[in-house]
Amino acid sequence: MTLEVREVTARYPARDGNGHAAALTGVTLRLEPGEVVGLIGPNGSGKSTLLRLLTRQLAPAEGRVLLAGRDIGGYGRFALARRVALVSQEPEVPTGFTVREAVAMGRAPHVGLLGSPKAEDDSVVEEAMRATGTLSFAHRRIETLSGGERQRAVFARALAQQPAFLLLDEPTNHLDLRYQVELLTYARRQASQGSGVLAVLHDLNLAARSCDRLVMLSAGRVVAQGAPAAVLDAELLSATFGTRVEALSTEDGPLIVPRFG
Amino acid sequence: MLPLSLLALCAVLLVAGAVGSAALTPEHLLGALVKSVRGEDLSTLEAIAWRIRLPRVLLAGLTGAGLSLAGVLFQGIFRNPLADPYLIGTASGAGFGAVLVFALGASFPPLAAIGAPLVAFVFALLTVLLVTGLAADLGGLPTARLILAGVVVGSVFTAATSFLLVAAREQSAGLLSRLLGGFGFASWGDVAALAAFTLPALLLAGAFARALDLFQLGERGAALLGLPVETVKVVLLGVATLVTAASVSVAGIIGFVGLMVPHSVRLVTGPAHARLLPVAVVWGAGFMVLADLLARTVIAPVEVPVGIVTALTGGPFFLWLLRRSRRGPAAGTP
Repeated sequence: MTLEVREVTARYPARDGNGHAAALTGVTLRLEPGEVVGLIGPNGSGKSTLLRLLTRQLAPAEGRVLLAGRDIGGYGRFALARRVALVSQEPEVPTGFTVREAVAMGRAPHVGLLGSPKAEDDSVVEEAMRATGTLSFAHRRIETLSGGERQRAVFARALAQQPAFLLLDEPTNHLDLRYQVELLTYARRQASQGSGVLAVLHDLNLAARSCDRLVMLSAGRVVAQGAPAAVLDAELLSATFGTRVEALSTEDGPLIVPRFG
Repeated sequence: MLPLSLLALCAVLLVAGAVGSAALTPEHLLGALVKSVRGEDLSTLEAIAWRIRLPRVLLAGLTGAGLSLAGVLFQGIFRNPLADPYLIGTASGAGFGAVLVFALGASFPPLAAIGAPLVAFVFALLTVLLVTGLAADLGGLPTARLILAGVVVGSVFTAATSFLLVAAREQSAGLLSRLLGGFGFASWGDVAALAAFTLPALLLAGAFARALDLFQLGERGAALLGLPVETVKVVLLGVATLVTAASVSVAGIIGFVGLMVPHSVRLVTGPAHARLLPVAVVWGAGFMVLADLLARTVIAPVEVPVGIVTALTGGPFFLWLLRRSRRGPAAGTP
């Protein structure tokens, strides 16, 4: 099973009446099971738009979005949510619910609109919580968690969906180093169990070390994709981000260092 | 929690059934029930129990259950703990519709009895659309805008209702006492009519309890889990509005029940709707029966409109909530 966009162009209706600004132009990208792909690029380059296309929150103006070779528009709502899960950048937490209850909401696509959870659903929730180290605070109210704990709970909810593809929108935002590494470790483990993971990442060094492949967007177009060492080229990065950077090679991949002055 | 609540509700029903201008015992109430079912003759006290006390207590219970249900639904869908059929203007819209039908249809009562809940529903729905349309911000429905829009739209409907009352001249006293909220005219017909709306609404809402939980992730979060957000919203807003309209046409405008009861219950059951909904419905019934008991005994033989009792308790409760919501994220929308 693959999740892909083919020659996709996406536009947002302009709020101020200045026509339709293209958010993505002619983008092609293919996500395979078992791989962790990092999506990088400056602010406004179209990373979040791409995630919106892949979760059907936005329909492409041109091109196609395909899941297992079928147009994503042809899937039922729950069927799509059983295959593709998104961890949003700043997810709303359900105030007052316990962590376990909030994680269990991830079973909704399997339980259906009017069904009730079975023993199997409970064990999937349990497993998702074990995998993310959230069992120890399962009974706390979710709004009382720290930022790192909360992000793990949201990640656990996505795992409870048992998706074939896991999309992460800047999952390490607001997290300290330990939690950043932790979260991407969970993502890697998920990939090794057969999921495809696509993560929007701002930290290029983190991306270099946690991803099999990087895709770099700039102004709505793919400007580079491939192995981290190839994409994280000093000249290309300097041009794309509009600031001078240096790429030092280290044992476990390039190290990107900005230059001042 | 639910079995305990049901037990308490039974006790409240018995007490409220017994206490009144004619003092009854549980035997009278049960005797009236059994004999009426069997078609046997009733004693005087049993006749009072059957014709006056029982329908009154049951109507109060159904109204409280319905308003509490409507409160839970509005709060769940708008993700706003201050949403209440009264505060967001729905009840005033429904009141206008009901009075309109009674004022026009007074010459032909059967039509009015059937038409009132339906026309009340239409106006209540209009109010919901108007208020949410006015209050909507880019991110959702902020509390302050929702309540402000609700109060203003509600005031307009209240003014229009007052105009109808003045224009109705000789019937206005009857209409006014109906609108102010009370169960003094309760009949078995009213009980049956309200039950016909409220009980199916309860079952439908119960079936959507999990969907309501998902709404707490925000509409986008719920949609990402596959929930047909718009469909659920239309169904549940329709149910909440219909229940509000039905209870307003039968018992008048009774405020704050849909606010106070769900809030208190949430403190006990937590926010998951599968637990919250049934308990809130039972407590709503019990609260309204007690409020009505108070209304008809506190300065007996004069009856206080029950809406006054609920407003006198609910107003301070609302202010306390408002103050509390300033300090924490408990109020949901910032």
